[in-house]
Order: sequence, then C-alpha cells, then structure tokens
Amino acid sequence: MTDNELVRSCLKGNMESYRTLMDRYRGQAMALALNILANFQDAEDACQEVFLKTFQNLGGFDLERSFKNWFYALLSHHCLDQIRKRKRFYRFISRIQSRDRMAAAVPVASTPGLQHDLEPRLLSRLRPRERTAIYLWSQEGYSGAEIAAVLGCSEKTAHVHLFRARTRLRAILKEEKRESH
Amino acid sequence: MNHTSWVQVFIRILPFHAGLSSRLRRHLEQCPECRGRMADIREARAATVSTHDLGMVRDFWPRFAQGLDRPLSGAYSRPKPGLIWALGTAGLLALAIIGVFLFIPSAPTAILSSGVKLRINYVRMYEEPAQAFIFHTQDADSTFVWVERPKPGEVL
Repeated sequence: MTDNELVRSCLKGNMESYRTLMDRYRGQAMALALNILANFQDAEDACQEVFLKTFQNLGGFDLERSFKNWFYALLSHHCLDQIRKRKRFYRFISRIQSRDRMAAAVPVASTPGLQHDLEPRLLSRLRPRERTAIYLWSQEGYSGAEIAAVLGCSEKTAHVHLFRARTRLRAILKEEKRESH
Repeated sequence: MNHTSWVQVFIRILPFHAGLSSRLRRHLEQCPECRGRMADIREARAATVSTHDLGMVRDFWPRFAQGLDRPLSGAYSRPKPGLIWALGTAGLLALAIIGVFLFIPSAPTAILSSGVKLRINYVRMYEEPAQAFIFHTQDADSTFVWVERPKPGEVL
C-alpha cells in the first residue's frame, strides 16, 4: 500500500493504517530529528509529538501531495522551533551561570543507542536549516525543490542552504585532516 | 549529472542492464565533476546520522496511543488554536455585555420616582416666587433641586 492509500484508510477510521505509516517512517523521522537537534532524547520527543500532530491534522492533508514531504515538513518545523526555544532557555541560563559552567551543562549530543557516534563537532558547526538540507540531500536523495517544500522556503533559498552546508562541511573536514597531520 | 544526458539515453535504449550499469560506473569513475559530487555525498553521509546508524528505533505506538485523549475514528482533528481564541473572545464579549446590562446604574427617572420628594416655597425665579422641589434618591447619595415657575392662576 502506498502512503496516501494508508492515509485514506486511516481517514476512514482504520488505526492500523496509521500504525503502518508510523512503522514505515519512525527510523527516518528519528534520523532527521537527530540530525537537526543533535540530542537523542529531544529527537525522540520531537518524533513522538509530530506523529501525534500529524495524526490530528490528517484531515487537512492534501491526498494529491506526498505524505513523506508533508510529514518531514511538520517534523523539521517542530525541530527548528525546539532549537529556538532551547536557545532562549540557554540564553536565560547563561545569565545565571558562568560561560564555562554553562558549556559543561549543555548536552551537545548524548546519543545512546547509536551504532557509531554522532559527529557533534561537524553538525554543531552547521546551522539547523543547513543540517536539514544536507541530511535530506545526502541520505534521502532529495532535490532542491523537495528540500524547499520541506523547509517551506523557495527553491533558490534551499539551494543556498545546501551549498553553504556542503562548503562548510568540506572546509571543516579539510581543517580536521590538516590538524590530524 | 545533467550533462550526462547521452548516458541516460543509452540507459533507455539498450536492453542490457549489466552493461549499462558498468558504463555508468565507468563514467562516474572518469568524470571529475561526477566524482566530486559523489565524494561530496559520501562526506555528507558520513557526517550525518542515517537510519542505519540508529539501529532499532523505539516503537512510538504505545506512547502515541496514550497521547490520544479519546478514541478517534476518521478525520478527527482538534479545533485549531485560532478557533479556540475566537470562541473564547466571543464568550468574554457576551459576558461583558450581560454584565453591563446587569450592573448599569438605573435611569435617573427611576431614581427620581423612587426617591423622597420635598417642596419648598421660598425660592424666587426672575424676581418672582417659584416652586422648588428637592429630590433625594434612596439608593444614591444624590440630591436634585428642581425649580419651576408657578402655573398661571396657581397661588404659592
């Protein structure tokens, strides 16, 4: 069954269809959320909330569109919102704590369950939108237009995000190679 | 890889997929532009987390089912926040209007009719004696003084 057939079935009241959709996308959802948020617990919470939000808004989903893109758009916006909230919180905390103590308190990437460690140094040096763009491009094979649909921006802007992410990533890797030699 | 349209044409025309894939592979190995792009993708893949890296992802279903506040069927959706705000504002407005009607001070005529009426006769108006009335309201600390000329033929 295709995604949209499952959505149609779910709209008729078949909850098992939504369970199938969740099983189909939970891995990819976690990977995307983890790439944006760089924190395992936050990524799990984000996925949980977005699966619920998606279900509650299924009635408004246009069955002519791609479910995957729509779901990714909801998820990435939720994650970007979380980062904004987190920044506000850290700004508040940093007023109270000293900068050094703060750095020790902020979890960059605690990722239990990962088979290989997430590269926090690499990811943290990219902006959240750039991280989203580069994940969708490299792992999902998304084109500029599809990335734009997920990020809710123009295709040109999506290309700019992707270009900056690739350039920055290349520079970081080069720098790291130089340091290791 | 848009510049490799001739390769794509070959892919469509030739029936031998193995041959085609080896041709494509050879192109990818030789073309510097494609090689650079592939290297970029490889680097990006290594830097990002994939589903493969995650292994077994937790089943969200149990928590999801708990998150639903009532059994759902069909295209249920909660009212949007905008609608909630609109309904709330309308409710508050209705309450305010009802409150205004309930607690508005009663009209002066009602006060006057319910008040104590006294009459004094020593007030003069335009150098002539006039009738004066003093109204003291029962439920407010207000006193109204009303003065009028005597009607023709009326003796004060």
